[in-house]
Amino acid sequence: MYFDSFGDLLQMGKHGFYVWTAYGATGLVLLISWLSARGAFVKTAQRLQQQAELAQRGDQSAQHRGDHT
Amino acid sequence: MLSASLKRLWHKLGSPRWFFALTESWVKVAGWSALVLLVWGTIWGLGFAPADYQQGNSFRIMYVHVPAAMLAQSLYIGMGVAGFIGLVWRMKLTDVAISACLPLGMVITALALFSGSVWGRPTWGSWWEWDGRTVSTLVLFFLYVGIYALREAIADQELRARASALIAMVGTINIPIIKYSVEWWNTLHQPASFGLTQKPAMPSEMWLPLLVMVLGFYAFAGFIVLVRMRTEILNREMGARWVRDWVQVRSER
Amino acid sequence: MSSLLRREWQVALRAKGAIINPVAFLLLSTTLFVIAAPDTVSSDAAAGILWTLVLLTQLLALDAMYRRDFDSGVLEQTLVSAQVPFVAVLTRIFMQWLSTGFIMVAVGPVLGILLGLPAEATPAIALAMLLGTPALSLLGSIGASVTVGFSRGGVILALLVMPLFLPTLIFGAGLVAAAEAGSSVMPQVYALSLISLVALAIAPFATLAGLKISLEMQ
Repeated sequence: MYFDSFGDLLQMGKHGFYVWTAYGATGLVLLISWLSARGAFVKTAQRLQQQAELAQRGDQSAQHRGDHT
Repeated sequence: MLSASLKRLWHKLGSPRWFFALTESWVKVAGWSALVLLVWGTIWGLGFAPADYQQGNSFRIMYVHVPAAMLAQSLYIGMGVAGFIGLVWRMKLTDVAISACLPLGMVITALALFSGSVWGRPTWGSWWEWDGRTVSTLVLFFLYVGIYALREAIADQELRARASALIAMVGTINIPIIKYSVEWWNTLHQPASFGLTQKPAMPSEMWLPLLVMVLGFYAFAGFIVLVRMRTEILNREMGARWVRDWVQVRSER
Repeated sequence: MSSLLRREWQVALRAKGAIINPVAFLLLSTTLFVIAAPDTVSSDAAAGILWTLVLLTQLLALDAMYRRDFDSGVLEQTLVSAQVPFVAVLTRIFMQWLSTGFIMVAVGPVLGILLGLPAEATPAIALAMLLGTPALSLLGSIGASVTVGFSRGGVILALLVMPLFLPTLIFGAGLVAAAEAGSSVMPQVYALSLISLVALAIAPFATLAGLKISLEMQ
């Protein structure tokens, strides 16, 4: 470990604000990118699933109607 | 023999269905390796690498700024290459690739500009300097926004794909010209400019964490692009049989 | 080829405003600049301001010309009736350059005088315009070809094309500045010529592709 204490790590020899701002922004960007991409995928998959369920129910009701003739 | 199977592979790569199936495992590999590399590189760069003699600890910002800047350029060139392949071989997946690279590329370029600015303040005294690299990165950002605006303005998917591919290609061809011109401009206006090239070569304790971070960033980009491409494929191929089968398998899990 | 040129010339003659308006805009914007920042006259910034204003004027002229021809159907006609569409596009770009860029060879030095540049720099300004404006017309045509169908295309055109203009701007302004300082302008001459040649290599194909896209969008 380059730094003697955790306090030193945070301070970064009086450059702490800048270093942590840069890393914080990076972390935020990566995190939001991940959540956004993953969220879009999950939402699409869910929508497709709902469509499939609706279609299935539509088939079933059509079948029932057919049985009554 | 080899060329025949390569040709088959090439044609398969153009098939959304095959691409989707192939990348299911790739996404997991990319995602996990990105996580491991980024965490490892960050801890190493922040906590264990030695401080720079002149810059002190602010130089650690390099471990996020340089990978971001590299990725920003790579993603745009990736779009240009995809555009070229799409126009020459008429592969629809290339437009999916372009749409996936675009948001990440824009955001990473902005991050490169931001982290560069934050690095500059404690190191060289100002939040912003008009030098070769800042101007080049700024122009890259404009190139991204241009494609974004173009895509927003065209409703038809096929035409949007062709227009984006064209502009991405033209932009990519111009990147080296722009870089060279801006560097030349910079040497005129900043005779005593600081440059990483002026400093002595970095010891391995300093650039090894950088290597890890660069690999981590690229793995992350691969992960995000693949996820977005898979989402877009699902959207575009909604009515297809294989999509319905996939949804069914997924809901049964 | 000659019938193409003749037709293009007729079209250009009918649109005299297309030639006068950009020049008027250039002089107007120069006036604004000088009034807002009088210290820039005869300063080191004058060469840069000259080029920047020429650039912006080119952008406006480009957009206006392509849009007019697109809306009137002339563009479509040219492409459809041409035996070799590539040549038709090249001819169109050439005519566009003649009416906006080439004029700068004469107007540029006048502007230079207005901005307080020394009279000895006048030939350098004319040379810079001659070598640099073809690149602007060529590269600008690529952007115009894709955005000509948009309703608010002008802004997107500027966005697409400004990064491409940057090298010409750098070396064009650099040429004038070097002439002012009395040093050799040859490096900039080479650079500007090279950029215009590269633009000549890619622009006609790219513009043709872009026009096809825009015509399909109608």
